[in-house]
Parts: sequence; structure tokens; C-alpha cells
Amino acid sequence: MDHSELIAELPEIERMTAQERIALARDRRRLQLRRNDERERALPPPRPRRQRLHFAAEVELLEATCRADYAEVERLLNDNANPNLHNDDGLTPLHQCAIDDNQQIMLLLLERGANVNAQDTEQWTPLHAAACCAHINIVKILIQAGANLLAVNAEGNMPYDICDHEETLDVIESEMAARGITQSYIDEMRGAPEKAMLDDMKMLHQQGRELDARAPDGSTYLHVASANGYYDVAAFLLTCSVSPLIRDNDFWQPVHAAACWAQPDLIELLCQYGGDIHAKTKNGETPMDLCEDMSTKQVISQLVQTEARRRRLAFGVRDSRRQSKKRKKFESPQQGATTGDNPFSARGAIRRQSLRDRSGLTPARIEAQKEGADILRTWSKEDVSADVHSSQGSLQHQRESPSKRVLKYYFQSSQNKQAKPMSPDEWLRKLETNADDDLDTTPKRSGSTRRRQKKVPGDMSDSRNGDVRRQKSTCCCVIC
Amino acid sequence: MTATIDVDNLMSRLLNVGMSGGRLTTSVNEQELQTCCAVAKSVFASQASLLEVEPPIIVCGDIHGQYSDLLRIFDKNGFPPDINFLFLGDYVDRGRQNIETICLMFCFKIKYPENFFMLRGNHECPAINRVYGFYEECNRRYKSTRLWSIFQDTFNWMPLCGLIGSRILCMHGGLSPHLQTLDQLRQLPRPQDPPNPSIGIDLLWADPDQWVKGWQANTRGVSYVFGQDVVADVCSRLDIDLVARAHQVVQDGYEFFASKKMVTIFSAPHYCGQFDNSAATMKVDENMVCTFVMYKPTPKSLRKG
Repeated sequence: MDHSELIAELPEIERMTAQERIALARDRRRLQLRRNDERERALPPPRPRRQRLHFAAEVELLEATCRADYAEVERLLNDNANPNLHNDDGLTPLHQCAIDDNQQIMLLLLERGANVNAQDTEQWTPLHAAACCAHINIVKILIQAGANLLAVNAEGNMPYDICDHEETLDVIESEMAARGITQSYIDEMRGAPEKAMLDDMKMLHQQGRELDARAPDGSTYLHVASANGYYDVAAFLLTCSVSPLIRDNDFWQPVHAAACWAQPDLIELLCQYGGDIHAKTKNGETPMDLCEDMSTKQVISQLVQTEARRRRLAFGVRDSRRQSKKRKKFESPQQGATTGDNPFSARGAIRRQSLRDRSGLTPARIEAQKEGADILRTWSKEDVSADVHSSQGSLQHQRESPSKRVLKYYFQSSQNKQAKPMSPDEWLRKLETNADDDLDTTPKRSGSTRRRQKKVPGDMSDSRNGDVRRQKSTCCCVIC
Repeated sequence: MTATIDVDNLMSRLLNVGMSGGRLTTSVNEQELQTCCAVAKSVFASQASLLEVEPPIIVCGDIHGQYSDLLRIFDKNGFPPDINFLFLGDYVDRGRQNIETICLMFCFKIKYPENFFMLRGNHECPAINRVYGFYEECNRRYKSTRLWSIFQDTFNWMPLCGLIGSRILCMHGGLSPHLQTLDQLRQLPRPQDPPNPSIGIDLLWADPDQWVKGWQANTRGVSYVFGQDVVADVCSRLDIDLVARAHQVVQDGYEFFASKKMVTIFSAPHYCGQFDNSAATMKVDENMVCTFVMYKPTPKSLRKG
């Protein structure tokens, strides 16, 4: 209502009673509200005020680093972004700079407190990444900032192991020499993660605790050792009677983990202790299905063939036992029983004893090998006194150069003997030959006799793997 | 006519499928799958063409029949309805367990229609999934092309776009040169197999290209590629902060474009058994803060430092 209408209305309002005035006021207010509602409905709906989108700090910092946006990185750091934030993979902005050869942002990050030795979930440091990519200037910056030259990643590689570029490798190795880093120290650092786990296992064993305890996903220490290639840890667990057939929640056995992470030595070890090379996961995957590394696939193939051969020989062994039973009619019962028992218990004893004691020949091992010789003698049916004499001489020779590889081939040839019985002295001579070959195959760069693999294999790596493979093939041929 | 289905029972059997191949066909029969499709269709039809949803929500990219990897996503983030999900399409083709994948997702959609959202991908179109694995799988495991056809009827009702908290526009493929307002997306017709060319085809097929300005022909042979300038322009015009899409495999499972105005999300690790890519999902919390969860190609985490 406009003003003039209100003024004109006043005399009439003055004549109203109080109650009539109140009623009129209510009517007017109701009308007022209705008109306001109508006006508001006629208006276009207001734009909603919505919360703006933001990305988490680690997402923003990594994204700006990836785009090489120096100004944005600097702004984020000035806003107190933590330079050590990382994504789910553990990748930090410093890793990203190493991968992208971004020196400018790397220097900025280091200046603001980035951890030069940050490790991602595969234990790679920025120096691993820079060495692998052959970004020589980044390598120099990282070394200057105190990078750990001996950091070991999940594959057991130090930065210099995965550097294929000569000039960059020179920078790293020169710095290692300048810091007085010796080969024995390198070996010690390389083996540190495995040694730590082995010490833990031994402590648990001494305390009488379970060595087959499970993680929430059902995995055990043996799964972890098999995945990481921790040979000594796995050997320890197996000798403490942890089953090689133990399954996690996905029905992965240790042999699946070893196949998946390309640990051929571990696969062989597990199978020696009764692991199943044909085992299937819940998804129906065999070790061969899970393996993507060609060298490891070859090892699995050989084990599959060996397994097939052993199954056929299982009948042969039983036949042999039946024969020995027949001989009971003509020989003393004691001798027959001894013959029947020896093949299995003696071989098992040899395997366990030799794994436990790798530092050299001991009387126990000499005795074990003599038992092996006895078994061979039974098969070959040759003269007793002559064989004993020969084997003793050979054992003396072996004492000079024992190594793990010798023991491995010992078992391998032991299995082959079931197929092709040979005289003991002939077999022992081949063992000596293997020992000589093993020494030559030791890779120069790595102090460990166990083969290391690079995350990104280069030509050199393939070549070295090929050499190792050829050596093993030669050894097998010699044995056969 | 309204179809009835025991969703809980069907979901239980689907979740117990641990092996590829025969196990599914012995525990779930074709009639049940057809009923599941029919009910899912009615749920899609009852919801808008532009799904407008609120955080917190997990945004997932391509799955491509990788059933065990789909289950990994639920294992890691939580199952519906505890967690809200928006999937950006491409549930079938290429992988080995298409039927388990799409049926489990339809079951979640039926049971939790306000917590579980699915957009259509280009592989949910008959011309594509006829060729790239889904048709073959329906035929091989259930001896039925009719089953495949019934899936197509449901796919035709799936929405093409989502809008999260009014700030994140989601689609499977990418933007369209014809897109001017959000109302166009709200009014997209269904059921439809989007004709070529159309806004619908672009939403399913377009790709960003770092080296392009404006719009250019897509080397896929369908739709366009677009540059960073297009993304910036669309975000400004539609008053949004981010475009989330899938459609392309990316090494870390997610990848930004146009200075964090667009992100590609891909949720099939070790895609096709050939790529060594990680997968990722994007988590939008109640305060509209985004983070990414990554899934390595090797699911086992037995390694320790």
C-alpha cells in the first residue's frame, strides 16, 4: 500500500476497537508475506555457494614438480608444504626431479629440507633413480647433498649396480673410492636387510616362538624371504621345519612369491625341501604363470622336467626296494634293512647338514658324503675297497675350495645319479669341475655370489644374465 | 511388470567366485542375470541423466572385466553403502571376468541406488563390446547372444555424466564442442545408443591432447581431441573446478591435465596383462579435498625393506 492510502485510512482505524486493529494488522502481515513469496518465486534461483575443490598437499606438490613449475613449487613450499610428502608409491618430489632431470627444483627442495635419502615403497632412493636414468648432474647434486651411496633397494641393488652409463658410473664409483668404501663394506651393506631378518628369525627360534606366524594376509616369514631373495633366511626357516607348502590367504605358497619376484635360487631351494613347482593359487596360477622373468622361467622349466623325471624314477626306487626284499632270503636281514632305509634318510641328512654348514668340510659332512658314496656303490655294484680309497682322496681335494654352488650341484648330480649310475670317483671328479666353473662365474661388481637383477634391465644386465645361464647350462651338460 | 530379485543372495554368490571360467556358470544361471539387468535398468531409468551427488565419494575409472582388481578397490576403500562410489564407465571388454564384474556392480546399484553410481563408458555400447570381448564371453560361458542383447538394453539407460558437489564434472571420455550449459547434460535423452556425431558420443569418446589448441579430429576415428585452453574455458563457463574422466590408460593410475583442471583416472592395474601400469581411485572428502589411492600392478605386498 502506498503512503497516501495509509494516510486516508487513519480516521477509520481510529474508530476501531483494539481487537479490530490487531486483526487488521494480522491480515496485512499475511498479505505482505504472500506477496514476498510470490516475488521470490518469480526471481531466478540464486547460484548456490559451494565449497571449492582442493587437492591434498602431496598431490599438489608432486603435480607442480611433474610440470616443472618452479614458481608453483616455491609457492607451495612457502605455504609450508612438507617437501617430503609422497604418493601411495612412496614417490617424493625429489624422486620426480631425479627421474625428470630437473636440477633447479631439486636444489630448491633440498634447500627446504627434502630428505636426500627418501625411499619409495621399492626402497629406491633419488640416487637410484638418477643413476638408472644416467642423469649425471642430478647424481652430482645428490652426492653433494649427502646421498647414501650404499642404499640397497628391494631388489638388493645399490645405485652403482643399476647405472649403465660409463661417465655417470665413474662419478659414483669415484665418490665411493673417495669415501674409502671397500668391497667388504659394500657386501656387508648389501646383505644388511637379509642379515637383520636372519638375526630376527634366530632370536625368535631361541625364544621358542613360532617361525610360521602369519601376517593379516596370511603370509609368513618364509613368504617374505622367498619374495626378497633372502636365501639364508629361507634356508634357516626350512631347516627349522617350516613347511615349504605353507599357503597365505590367496593360496600363495613361498614358491609363488619366489617366481613372481624372480628369485630362481629360492625356487630351487624350496623345491629341494619339498616345495611343489606345480602348486596353484586360489586363482589357479602356477609359479610359471606368475613369473615374468625369462631366466627364472627357464629355471622353473628345468624343475618341472626334473620333477617329471623323478616321478618316473619313484617306481624305479620301489622296484629296487622289492629286489632288496627278495635278497633277504639269501642275505642277513640286517643288511637288507640297511639297504632299504639308506636312500632316503641319508640323502635328507646330507641336504640338511650341508645347508647348515657352508664354511667348509666338517667330519659330519665327510661322513655324509661317504654315505652318499655308499649309496652310489650299491647302485653301481662296484668293488668296495677301491671306491673307498678314491673317494677319500677326492674329499681331501675338496677341502681347499668349498662354496655354496658346489653343494647345489652336489644335490643336482645326486638326483641325476638315480638315472645314470656312475662310479663314485667319476662323479666326484665332475664335482671338482663344477667347483672350478663356479669361481669363474662370480660377477665382478657384486660381492655376493647370488645374481642381482636390475629394475630396468639394460643390455649389460641381459648379457651378464646370459653368461650365468650359459655357465649353468654347461655345468648341467658336464654332469649328464 | 516389475521384476523381482534376491540381490543379497546373488551378490553373495558373485563375491564367492574366486576363479575365472566355469565357477560362475554353475552358481548363477542366465535367468538370474537377465532379471538383474532388468531391475538395474529400472533403477537407472529412475535417476537423472546428469547424476548430481555429494561428497564424500570415491571416483573410479576403467575396470575392463578385471574382477579381482575391482574387489581390491572395495577391500582398500570399504564396501558400499559405508563408502559412496562413482564409476566412470568401461566395466566390460578386454578382461577375463566381464560378467562377474558388471553383475556385481549392477547388484550394488540395485541395492544401494543412492550410494553407488555408474556412468556409461564407450565399451558399454554394442558396436564396441560386440568386438572387444564381452559378446564372446556371454557366448562362451552362457551360450547366449540374448543375454548380451539384454545387457545392451540396460546399458542404453545408463547416465553419461556426473556432478560432484557442483564442482567436479565427470564423464567417461571427455568434453564436447557443443557443451554450453549443464542443463544440456540434464536433458540428454535416454534410452539411447548415442549417435555419431552428438554430445553423447563426445562424452564417451573425446580425449585431451597436450599439444593441441581448441578442437581437432580424434585419431581414434570418433569425436575430437581438445587442448588445455578448452578445459580452462569450460571450467570457467560452467563454474566448476575439475573435470574427471577415464578412457585412457595412464602409468600411475591418474594423470593431471591443464594444470589440475582435468584428471584422468584409470582403475585397471596391469591393464590387459600387457601394460605395467598402476591403477588409481580419487577420493573426495566431505570438505572437497581430493587425494588419490594407488594400486600396484602386482597385488602381493610380500616385499619388505
